Amino acid sequence: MKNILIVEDDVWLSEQFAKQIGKYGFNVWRAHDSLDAIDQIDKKIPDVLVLDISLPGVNGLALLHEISTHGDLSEMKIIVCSSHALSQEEMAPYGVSVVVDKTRMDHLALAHAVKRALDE
Amino acid sequence: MSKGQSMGGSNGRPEYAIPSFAAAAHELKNPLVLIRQLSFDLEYGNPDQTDTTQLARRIRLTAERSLRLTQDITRAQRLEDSLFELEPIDAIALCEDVAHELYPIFSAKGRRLEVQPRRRLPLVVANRDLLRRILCNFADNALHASVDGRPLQFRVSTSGDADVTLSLRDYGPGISADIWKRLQTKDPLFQKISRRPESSGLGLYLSRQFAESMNGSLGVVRHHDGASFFVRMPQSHQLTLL
Repeated sequence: MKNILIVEDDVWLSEQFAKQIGKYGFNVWRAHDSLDAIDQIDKKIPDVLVLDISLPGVNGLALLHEISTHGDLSEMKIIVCSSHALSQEEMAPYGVSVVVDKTRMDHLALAHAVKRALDE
Repeated sequence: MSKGQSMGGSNGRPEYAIPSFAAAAHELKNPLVLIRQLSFDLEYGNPDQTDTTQLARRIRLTAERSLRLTQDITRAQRLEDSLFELEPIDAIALCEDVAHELYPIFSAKGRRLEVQPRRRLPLVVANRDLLRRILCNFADNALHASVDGRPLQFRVSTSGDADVTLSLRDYGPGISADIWKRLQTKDPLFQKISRRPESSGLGLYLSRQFAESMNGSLGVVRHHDGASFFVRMPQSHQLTLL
């Protein structure tokens, strides 16, 4: 079973995302900020990281920089899920496979993005 | 509490740019995103009765939060045209009112908002509605910036006979020096992403306008594990005159 880590500071939203992805048989766990995410990745590297950008403290972009310095995380797929207008082209240099626009996504979008990232 | 960093300029003008329509749009976007996702679950998730009740409650609480912000924007637009009655207000009682008003959303998020007890109850000269809005903004900001389970606590303190400070401490993660340095780079992506979630600074900007319209000031003290936002208001001496 593939492991998905969702990094989202809004607890209710991360619950919704976990529900949406969990329905497809993925093993989902959650972190509420970047430092929490680093702790969890240290313990177990997920197959896919679903990352919000606006996070308290260290934001998602800083976390992406941090991840890029760790060679053992190169296989981990990264999905950015944000309400900022970020394009795939902008995020590709950060190792991001898929960008999901929070303001337009439906209840199936995140699970589809996870599958797409895993298929790459 | 240390004096902290004032959010007002030395000439009384804002030290940073006035938030734009884009900032207001960004602040409203996050709760709307959440409402939309919760609605998808209601529509397609086949929730049972308990889940339906919980989803409906979350939608309502999130909508109420958005409405508070829109009401603040409206109030700020009317500040210059309106006369606001200033009156002696019991600062502790007002903090307790705010804690009571926000109890549903704090409770739903598994958090607590408390008021530090005080023996002597200081009175401030303020407009009740505007001061309440400032405290609600502090609480809302703290609720979303804090990541651990510690209760958030309003504190009221006096500095001499002149001022009363009402503050709220939050416990968000700090930021390391090297990350902070990177955030100051010219990387356009870093430039457009703010440090705190959902923070275009609009809520605090509006709060500062409210405070200044009542001859008060707004400020912040940064801690390694969070921040204390405070509003400093003139103290009322009504009781001492009696």
